[in-house]
Amino acid sequence: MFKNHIKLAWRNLIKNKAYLAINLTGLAVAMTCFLLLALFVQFEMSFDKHHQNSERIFRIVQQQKGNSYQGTDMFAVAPLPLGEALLQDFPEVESVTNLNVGGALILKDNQSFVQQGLYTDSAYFDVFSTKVIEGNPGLALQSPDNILVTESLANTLFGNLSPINQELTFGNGKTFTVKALIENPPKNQHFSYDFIVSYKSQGYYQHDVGQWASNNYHTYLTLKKASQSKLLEDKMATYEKITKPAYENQGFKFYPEYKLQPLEDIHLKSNVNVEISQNGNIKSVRLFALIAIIILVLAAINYTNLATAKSAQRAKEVGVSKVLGAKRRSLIIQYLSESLFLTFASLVLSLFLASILLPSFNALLNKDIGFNLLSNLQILAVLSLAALVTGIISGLYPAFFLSGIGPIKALKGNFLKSTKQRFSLKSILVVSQFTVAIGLAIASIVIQQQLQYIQNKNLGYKNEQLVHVRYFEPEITEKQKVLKEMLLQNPMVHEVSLSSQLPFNVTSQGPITSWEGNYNDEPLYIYRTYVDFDFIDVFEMALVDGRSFSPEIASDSLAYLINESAVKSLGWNAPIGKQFANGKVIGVLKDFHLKTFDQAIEPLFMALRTPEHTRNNGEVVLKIDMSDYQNTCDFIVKTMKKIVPHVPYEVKFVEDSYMQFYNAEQRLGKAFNIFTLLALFIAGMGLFGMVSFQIAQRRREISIRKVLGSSVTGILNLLAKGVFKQIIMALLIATPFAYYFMESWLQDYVYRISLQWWVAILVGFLALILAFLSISFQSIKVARTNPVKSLRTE
Amino acid sequence: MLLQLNNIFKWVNSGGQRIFLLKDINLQVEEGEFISVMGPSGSGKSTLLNVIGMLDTFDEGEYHFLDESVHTLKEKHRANLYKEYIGFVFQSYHLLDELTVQENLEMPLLYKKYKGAERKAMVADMLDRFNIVGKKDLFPAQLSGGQQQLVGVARALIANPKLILADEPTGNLNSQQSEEIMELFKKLNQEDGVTIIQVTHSEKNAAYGSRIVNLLDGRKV
Repeated sequence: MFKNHIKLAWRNLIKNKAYLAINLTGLAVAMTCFLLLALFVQFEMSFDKHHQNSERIFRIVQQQKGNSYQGTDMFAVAPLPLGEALLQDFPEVESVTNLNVGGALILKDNQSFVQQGLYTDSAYFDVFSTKVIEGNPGLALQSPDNILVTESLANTLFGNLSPINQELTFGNGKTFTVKALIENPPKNQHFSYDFIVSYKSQGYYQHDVGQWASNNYHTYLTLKKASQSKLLEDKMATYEKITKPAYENQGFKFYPEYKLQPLEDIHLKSNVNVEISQNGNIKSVRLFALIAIIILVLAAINYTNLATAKSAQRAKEVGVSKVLGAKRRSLIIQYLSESLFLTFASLVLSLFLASILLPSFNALLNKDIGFNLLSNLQILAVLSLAALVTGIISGLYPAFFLSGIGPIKALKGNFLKSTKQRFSLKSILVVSQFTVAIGLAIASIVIQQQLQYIQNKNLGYKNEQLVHVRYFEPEITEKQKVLKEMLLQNPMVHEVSLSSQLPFNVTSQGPITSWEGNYNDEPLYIYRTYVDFDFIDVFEMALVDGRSFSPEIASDSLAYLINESAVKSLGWNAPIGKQFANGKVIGVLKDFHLKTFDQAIEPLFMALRTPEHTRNNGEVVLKIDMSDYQNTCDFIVKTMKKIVPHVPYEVKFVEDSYMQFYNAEQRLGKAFNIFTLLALFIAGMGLFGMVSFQIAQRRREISIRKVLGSSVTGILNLLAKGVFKQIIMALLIATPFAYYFMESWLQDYVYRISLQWWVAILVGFLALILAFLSISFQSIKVARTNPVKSLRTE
Repeated sequence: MLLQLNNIFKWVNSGGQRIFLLKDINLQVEEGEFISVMGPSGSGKSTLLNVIGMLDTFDEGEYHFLDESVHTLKEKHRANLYKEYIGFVFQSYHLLDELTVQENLEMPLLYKKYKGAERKAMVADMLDRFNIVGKKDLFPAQLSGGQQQLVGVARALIANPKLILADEPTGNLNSQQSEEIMELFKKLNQEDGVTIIQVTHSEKNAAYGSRIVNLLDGRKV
């Protein structure tokens, strides 16, 4: 019996190849989407859970009330003495480790490699689980001269040779001995590294010992029980008696309150200052999970529609089976097995598709999700469940519909009476599909518009023709004069400037209390950037008052340029010549965007760069002739290497680096484009199914109309009218929702576009064209067939 | 006695009026009879056949089949009843296009839960009896109309029904094919004792039967 079900299902499916292809593609595309999104969601949810005690590990964060920076007063850093104190004072603390992450240059055989380092202590291995291949990492880290390397770094440096006891020289001249080989950190860990050394080997360590007001570490601890965290947070308040005087001593008017943050929450739920790396966002995970389900539902609806439409052709089978004694149940089982067969075939297809698409998907979302289903039982189970549910849900309606037809009716083939219901189930399904598709389309256009706006808005400075090279070597700053001369010798290089930061990424901020008219010593939190004489020219920034820095005027070493926002905050009417910080204001810069568009322009000053501000790193910015770009780039790198050899300098467009800050938006935009296309594709197929159903239902009517003289266009019109009505309805439902959500999305931006009314019209128009295409194919076919054919079988 | 219809009425309501499809039909059928139902188009022949076959319901009257009162039975039991005792032959054969001759024959057996080996034997027997062994792997579309109806009759017979209901079984066939099918019916009736009720337009075909029931406007005349 079961074999017979399968046999009939199979023969029915392969008999109508177009039907099979449509269903299979639709379901497979939806399942692929679902699978990829499920992998993404799983990946995002899995962060840091591989550590053995992950649910008992917490990170110290601190709240500095009164020190708000980039929109929050929470910081993910802690002072060095805190960890030790916690371990001593509270028995519930099992182990504590401090760590830092940063890039370093490793030299080997005249080659240099930029690698990510983890600077920590031997307790790191008590808190975090790390797989060791060779050596004893905990023991090794007790000496500041040892280094632990990951497999990938060992491979890069030593190939197949054992790295143990090899010596490694760093760009700063320090030498370490390799004492252990460890596995690469998993991609779903919120910090990454290529090597581990003790922070005691670093210069800054000496300054941090016993310093409660110096927050240079990320501190993690393991509690005996996870439930003790709230209590410990309260107990940590006692450190106020140490931190308050320490902060006052440094001239701060605030002091920190330490809190605990669960390790597993960091990746998706933490967005504080000084995160180790860019975290994920629980919102986008939820959004993607929702989209995955919506796409699957859309595809299931399509199958239901198409299968019901097909029922006209299967009526005889139902009738004969019933006359021969088939029970309703066995017919239901047969149609369900057909839909299950199809969904599982799509599942297999989607596994194949997903494995092909995963690399591009990873590139799109900037993730590194692996694809090993055999070891990923969770995904396999979710996927099979999704296929099962999709198969059953989408097969249920056709199954009950078909098996419920009486045998005589079925044999006569006239059970598809077009009932004059205004809102039939099928039209609701089509309307809801198009509502989703239209909503997504509107959203993706708005996202694109905002991105365009970000790209094209006048930032207050010029990005064109500018390239920049980031450097970390003090030699570059020390020899900047020589470097500039050498660079300018190339006629393709027009201007050169060295600065501490690029204008769109000004991050250093701090209080200034000394300025003219500040009688109460009120601190003004102000951003600062340190530049040279050419900076203003290179970026073509505008001055609204005063003048720029000049090499001819010696006193300019203590001069300041401030922006309009600073003038406003300072409450000055005539800022030129006013006393500010250690010198005088000589000019006022027109406000320019010093951060991304989600943040308002804030007060800023610029001063000439002195060794004190140099901090061994900065940017070389060049205005170049684009006509011979590649050669000019090579020239720039070569010239810089003349000053510091071995460093792999990289020339980047300032414009590209600027857009880098909108990476998340760009990715979101791309993802939305893809989902929109998919939703439109699936909705188009749904329409195809809907129209097949209508045609099956109205075959007789169409034939009679033709016999009475209707043209092909007349019949096309007849079929299109209803569909167009449904699309207009979907547009009317989707537009307010889409506008509402996009309005709230745009609220995150201080500088944003306003929503345009024509977007909805455009999307509606496109949907109508799509609909027209997907119905005309079938309608024309039916409209052109000989009407006698369908009338004869009556 | 195989079946008995007492005062059967069937109607539909159309525009507030009751239109009778069957009006006061009384019919008694003994086992081994071969009855031909005749009448002009729309006289209710097919409706009567469907009522007898329990594929269709009626609005008034009593219907006894063997010892069961069909009019009091639930649909499920009715289905079990006709599944067990009645075979159907249609004007347009109604073979399943997706199944081969052999598989078409096997279908009624599947619904009666015969075991695999048993089914095989019964199908082989039937193929043999109807001389269509060579066509067992062909699909209906590969057969002539006469051959398709032959398969149709074989399928109706395969589960050994007591009664065969045939609705214009030769309506789509040419005269030679018709004759063959009618001869087959006659043989089944006389040699195997199968009760047959056929609906037909043709006097010639009706003559094969032992009794003729004439209908006009839903009434027996």
